[in-house]
Amino acid sequence: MNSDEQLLTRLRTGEKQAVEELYQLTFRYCASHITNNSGTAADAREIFQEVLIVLFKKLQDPAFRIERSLKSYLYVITKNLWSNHLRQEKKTGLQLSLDQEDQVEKQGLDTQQDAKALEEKQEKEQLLTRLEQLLKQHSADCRKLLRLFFYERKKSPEVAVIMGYKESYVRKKKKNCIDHLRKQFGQF
Amino acid sequence: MDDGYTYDRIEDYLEDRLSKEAKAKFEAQLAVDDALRKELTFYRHLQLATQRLEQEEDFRKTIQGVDQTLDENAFFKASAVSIDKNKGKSDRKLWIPLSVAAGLLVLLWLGGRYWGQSYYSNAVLAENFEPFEIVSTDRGDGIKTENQLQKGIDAFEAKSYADAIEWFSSTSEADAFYVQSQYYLAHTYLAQQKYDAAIEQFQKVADTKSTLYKDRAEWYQLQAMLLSESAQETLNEQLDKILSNPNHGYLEKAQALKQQVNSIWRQF
Repeated sequence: MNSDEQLLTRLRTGEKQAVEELYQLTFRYCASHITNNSGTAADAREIFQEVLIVLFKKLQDPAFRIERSLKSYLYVITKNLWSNHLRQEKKTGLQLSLDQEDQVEKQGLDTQQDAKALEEKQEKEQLLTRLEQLLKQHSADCRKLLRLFFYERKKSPEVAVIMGYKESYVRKKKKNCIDHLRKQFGQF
Repeated sequence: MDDGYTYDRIEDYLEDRLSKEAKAKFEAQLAVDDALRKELTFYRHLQLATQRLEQEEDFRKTIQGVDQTLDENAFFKASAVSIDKNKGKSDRKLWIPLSVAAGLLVLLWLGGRYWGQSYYSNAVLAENFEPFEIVSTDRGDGIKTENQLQKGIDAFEAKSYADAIEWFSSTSEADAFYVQSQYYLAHTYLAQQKYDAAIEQFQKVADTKSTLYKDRAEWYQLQAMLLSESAQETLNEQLDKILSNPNHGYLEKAQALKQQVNSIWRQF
């Protein structure tokens, strides 16, 4: 495992020191593209954070791998995000950028998976993205409750203590939150 | 959704927390209940979406934390580069008008220098002095007196300055043409480019208080001073001396020369 792969493994878990190392290794290089193309230092900071989020999302896919060096890969994402930013198409631009990155990764995937598997993967990705958007719009209480259940993997009695609710109310609240999302999501 | 199945139960199933019997019962229900399967799938996706979202949020906080802590290290090194580059850009923008201004100043300076040297240098100002008048001993009858003065004049006009000096110097104070000879002697030194000797000789003539030659001697002494490298400091004193005498024969010329000597063009 080379140094890039080691760093990516640590980044996959969100390790802070790995993020610091990544900053040291790549930030100035990536930031130079922005500051050399009419961007400010503040722009560089903001865009680089988005670059790392893109990388982090990619890392959640076990099939994800980088053909080139990590530094070059991040530089490409930086260029794409900054181009999109300059075109003032932040939302669609970001998606375009991710699509472009997907194209790079798909080339590798296509040789390993059949078209059906890829299609299923894309459908699942769309579902998850839609759910993430709904979750972001959800109430803070529901967000917190679902985080405790699904992300921190707490059980109802623990969630009740943390949230300051009765256990029965936690169950009811959880059901309401999920039902609300279910209703917003529509036909599954 | 069937009231017998709570989300907790779905979760227990997904987390493999059900007993064997309960799990079998749940799976049997799944096999025949299409709505339950959909709910289970939705629940599983919701779980995954929540995990991804919260993970991303945590990671974003980590990034922001690192970004803040690296402000004084990595970031400012980078931004310093950026600032330097921007500074370079702004410097380049500033350099253009500055270079043009500097170029204009150099041209102005060179032009001023050329103008000053062409019209206001000591040599040019000295050249502007009208030639001094030589009065021979011929009184109008074509007969020249054969004395030291005339011999000196002849030698001067023949540019035999050494002879002229000898003849002009040989006159005695008792001679009627003594002051005149001394005055011509000063001009001979001037013609010989012996400026310091000329200055001294003109001073001797001026000191005679001769009504005919004192003012002339003082005026042409200025010419010698302009040409002498060692008399620059006394130039203005001599000018002021003439200007302080309202009856001086060369007052107007001295005033004009004073303006020229103090002209700004001479500063170049």
